[in-house]
Amino acid sequence: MRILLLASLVPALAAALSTSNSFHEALTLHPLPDGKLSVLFEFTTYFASASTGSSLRQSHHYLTPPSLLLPLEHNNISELTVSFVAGQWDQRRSGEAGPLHYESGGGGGEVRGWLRSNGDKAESDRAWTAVTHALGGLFCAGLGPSDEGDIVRSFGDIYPPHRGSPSNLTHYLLPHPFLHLCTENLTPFLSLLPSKGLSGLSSLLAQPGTVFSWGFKSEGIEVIMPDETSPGRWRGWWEGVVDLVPERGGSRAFSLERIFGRGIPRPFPEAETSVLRLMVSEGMSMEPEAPKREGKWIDGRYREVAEWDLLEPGMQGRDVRFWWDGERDFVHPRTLRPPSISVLRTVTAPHASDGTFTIRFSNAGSESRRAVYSEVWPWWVKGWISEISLRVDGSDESRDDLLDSMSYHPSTPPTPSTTSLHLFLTLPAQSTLVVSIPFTKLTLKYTEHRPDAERGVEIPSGILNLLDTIGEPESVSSDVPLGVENARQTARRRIYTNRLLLDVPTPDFSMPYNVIIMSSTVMAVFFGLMQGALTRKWGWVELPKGEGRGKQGEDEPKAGVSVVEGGAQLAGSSS
Amino acid sequence: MSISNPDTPPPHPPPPPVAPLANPSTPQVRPTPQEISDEINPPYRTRLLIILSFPVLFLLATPFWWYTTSIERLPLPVERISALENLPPPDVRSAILLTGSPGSYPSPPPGKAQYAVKDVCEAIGKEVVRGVDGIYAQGRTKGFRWWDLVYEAERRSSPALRVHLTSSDRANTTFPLEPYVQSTEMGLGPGSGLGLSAEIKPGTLVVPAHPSLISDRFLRQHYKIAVINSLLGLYPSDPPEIPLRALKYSPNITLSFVLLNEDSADGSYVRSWDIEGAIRDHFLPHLEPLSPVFNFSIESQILYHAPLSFEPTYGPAFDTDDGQVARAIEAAQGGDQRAEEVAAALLDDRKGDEAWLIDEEMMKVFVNSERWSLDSGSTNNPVLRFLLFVPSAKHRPMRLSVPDSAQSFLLPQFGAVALLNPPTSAPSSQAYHLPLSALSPSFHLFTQHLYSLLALPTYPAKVHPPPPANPLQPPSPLTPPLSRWQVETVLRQRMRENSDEARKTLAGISRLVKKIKEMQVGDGVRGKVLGAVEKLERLQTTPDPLEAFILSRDAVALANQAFFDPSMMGLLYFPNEHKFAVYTPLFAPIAVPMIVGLLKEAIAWNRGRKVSR
Repeated sequence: MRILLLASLVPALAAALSTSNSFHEALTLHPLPDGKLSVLFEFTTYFASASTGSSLRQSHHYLTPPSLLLPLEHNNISELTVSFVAGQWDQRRSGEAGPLHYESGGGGGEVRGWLRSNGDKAESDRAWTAVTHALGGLFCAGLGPSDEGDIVRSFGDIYPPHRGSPSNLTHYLLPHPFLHLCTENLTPFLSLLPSKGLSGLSSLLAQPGTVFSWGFKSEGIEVIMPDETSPGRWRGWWEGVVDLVPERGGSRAFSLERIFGRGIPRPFPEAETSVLRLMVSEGMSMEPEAPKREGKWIDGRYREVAEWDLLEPGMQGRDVRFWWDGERDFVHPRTLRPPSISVLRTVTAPHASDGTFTIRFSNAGSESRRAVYSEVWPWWVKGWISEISLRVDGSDESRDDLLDSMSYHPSTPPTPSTTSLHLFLTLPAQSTLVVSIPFTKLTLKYTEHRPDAERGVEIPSGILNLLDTIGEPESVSSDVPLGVENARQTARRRIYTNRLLLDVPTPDFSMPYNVIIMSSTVMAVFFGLMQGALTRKWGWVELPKGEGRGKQGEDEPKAGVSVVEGGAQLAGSSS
Repeated sequence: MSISNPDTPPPHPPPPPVAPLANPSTPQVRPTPQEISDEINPPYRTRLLIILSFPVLFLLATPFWWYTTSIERLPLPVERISALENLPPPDVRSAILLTGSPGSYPSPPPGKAQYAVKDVCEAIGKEVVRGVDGIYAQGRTKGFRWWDLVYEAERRSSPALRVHLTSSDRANTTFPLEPYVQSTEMGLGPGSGLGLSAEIKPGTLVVPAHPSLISDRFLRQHYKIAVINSLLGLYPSDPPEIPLRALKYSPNITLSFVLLNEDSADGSYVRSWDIEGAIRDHFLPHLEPLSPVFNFSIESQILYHAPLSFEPTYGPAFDTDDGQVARAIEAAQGGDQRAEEVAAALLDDRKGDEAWLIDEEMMKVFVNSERWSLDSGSTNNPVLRFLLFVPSAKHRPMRLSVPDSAQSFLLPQFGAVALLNPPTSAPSSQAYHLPLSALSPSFHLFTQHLYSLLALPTYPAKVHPPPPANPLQPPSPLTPPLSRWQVETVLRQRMRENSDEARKTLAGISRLVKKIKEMQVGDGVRGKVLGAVEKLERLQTTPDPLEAFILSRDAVALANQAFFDPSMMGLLYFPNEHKFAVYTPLFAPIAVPMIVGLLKEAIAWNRGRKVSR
């Protein structure tokens, strides 16, 4: 038997499977101007359809995790994105409109996707609920809708499908603004990867103690299911922002060892590519020198990217160091260049019951931009749509001409439902457009209040969807100088605002007991009174002359007598 | 409570002095206190009515309170449920087709009446039935016969088992006759020399007699004994119990095949396998016939990192391959070139017979379910996992430290694990593809484990292995596919399991409902219970095994649905303390004045009666 085995174990032909199944990983380091470093892990798997036709339902997986793909397959999902974000991306300090990975959502958790629909709406809804619950179980987070009405269906134009036409697909979005990315979401993420956090770049990530000490954190997956013609792709990302400057000040020079506590890990043998990328900032040096440096359009700027191939023999265990030439102590810059477009949303609330969303769109570019701004509100936020006002910062003049059109899907209170609002805006060049939307907070239902400790309810981020981006060109003529900007040459189509905490008064939940006690007391007092009054017997008592008045003071409290004329008294007694 | 303010007039001022008509000259007479009392107080009867109106109001409100707080408790068919528990096992009957080939009995001498094959079989069959009934009647083997012999294949339903009497050159030349089950590949090749075996379908129980025995006087007796023995083995009165290691019945079962590389980043590893082929050859022939019973779905995956939670021990492996080596050497002496190589390799292999050993304690914790994701978990179906474990370079070769050198073990109700050691000679950091031939040994073991995990029946000892169809061709390593007989046994087994389970659940429901008075029994629950009871009652009169199985399956599903019906755990189930806590603050303050009032009235009435007397 053993000899048979020996003969039949044939070394695989490398190309046999990789045509349809392949795994790629990349670690991108992006130094930010404020002395921080954005670290992005990306794991991409291409895969062919796993199901095979036979008398029994079969599904065979190689690099892909069946626990992720089978629920999607059973529920007719075409595309799906899950994103968790903890912390806030600071658009002003980082000089970037959002995190390095463009699919990262705004804040909290978010599931969105396209479902292949056969026209049966109830069936699609059921499938979507089932798949979100399944993914929630997978990621150890409540991703399913708490109510049917939480599902948002009007965002199909904001997140167009990668594949297929929207006519036979249905888009679903489920925001969970109160979710936070935390440690228990990392382990399931790692277990979806073929390298399981034990080899390759994923082993750098499998250190919850390290990666969760970082600032802004974002985790997510994006799955595009295979169809008849093209293979599927699933991509997982993890991004964090590391503070490079020591607490007491000093140099921001860094190395892989310093960030992760270890050098380049042993390679994952099935990885087709495994690269370390650095978006070189001005005056940066590195050791060992990158074998490949090239210019690339990334997020509206032509930048230099250095690349190391980690699968090269001899790379394992090495450290890569980075420093800024001649920089001893990092000095925080006085002014930071803002991103070409940034959005800031605040709420001003004069009363507990009312408020106004103030959204400031800053366009630092030299051309006006066209965009759709979208908001999702829970049912109890009632926006006064007719009161929406627009002005440009610095003048009080109303600029309603900048609002081209609007699409409004009101909620149906008090059933749990969502309001969605899309504003088609023109963002004038070199100025800040301020949009204010007044709203009223309706009274929440008893069961809808968040726990007391949360002091209110979080509402999802607003999304600014830029309509005039032209993507990041792959091939660039070599004479483009580094650092040149063109705000429209970006693949980032969506810019997220911060999420907002709307404070809502928290009722006293001991109310039912108070009601019981109160009504019982009322009953006790009034029942006795009523019964006494109705059944009391009155009697005529003759008192000896002269005694009545004289003894009144003594008698009254004792016998409850009252003197009437002629010394006679009327005494009430209940018998 | 009294009127204490002298400035305000009392509510009932004393009536103005009335001049008596009889004596106008007499001065004004004050009325007696009794008169005033009578004047200002309602009559005694009215007072009593007022006092009584409170308790009466409560009494009148009680039905309303009862109606709003009562729990819907529809009656359950308790008698029918308890009657079910004492029912005998359902009377399912199978048909066994007994046929013979013309050469299987001596042809009568010329001149005597020629009997058709069917008549001969019928005669033997009658004796078999009588014999079996006799055995059961004697009481040595308890039970009853639940099959019938038929002698002609019916068009509409194929028989559960075919028994064929034939003469064969390759049968033993002495008695007793050795029945065997026709295997797949034999169906095509002529085995009996009569050219009739082509008609023998695979799965048929063949009773062969050597041509030299055909003329034996006792041939008929021997046929009878052989048939009785094998039928008693194949069709015991009670189907075998479902052992604990097997899965409980569930209509949907997922099979998950996982190839685990302990550490693919360290040395050579397996990157792909011909899983589809292995399932097609080793599993589908066994799974497809079970489609009326189980609905299987299959998933497979490869794990590139599957760390063990313990460190295996390094030591000498059990010396077990003696027979194999001896056989190979023997063959080598016979001049077989290939066998020589095999023997050499085996001897070579034996030199370094040190291995990483997994002992029984380690087997129990072998599956590191914390780190290994072994199935998709996309459904709630029970999952059987078949794990093919490839140890990492530093743990090779890995062996189980069990005496019979098995390279796989079974985990009850969970699945099976097989070890696969890549060749030691290979250079490190190489990726392998496992073709079908490399998977066959492991999957052959997996098939056997599947039989254990699903409690599929195997042939009893009285049924002999089939003779090789072709001496030049080695016997197929594949387990023969499931035959009708096996499927029918599974149906009976599972039917009994299900009907037992359904009865137990129904009895549980009726006990529970009886015990917990607050439990709600709505229309839905009652309908499900009734449905289950009806199905179980119909089961008693259903002879067809498949139909009976379906009834039992539906009955257990309904009973379970009823048992886990969410409406039975309604919100109306409050503990008594809770009710007291809510009702006492309301009723105690009301009850006190009411009872005191009633008491006082009773005392006054009592006193009044004494006075009047």
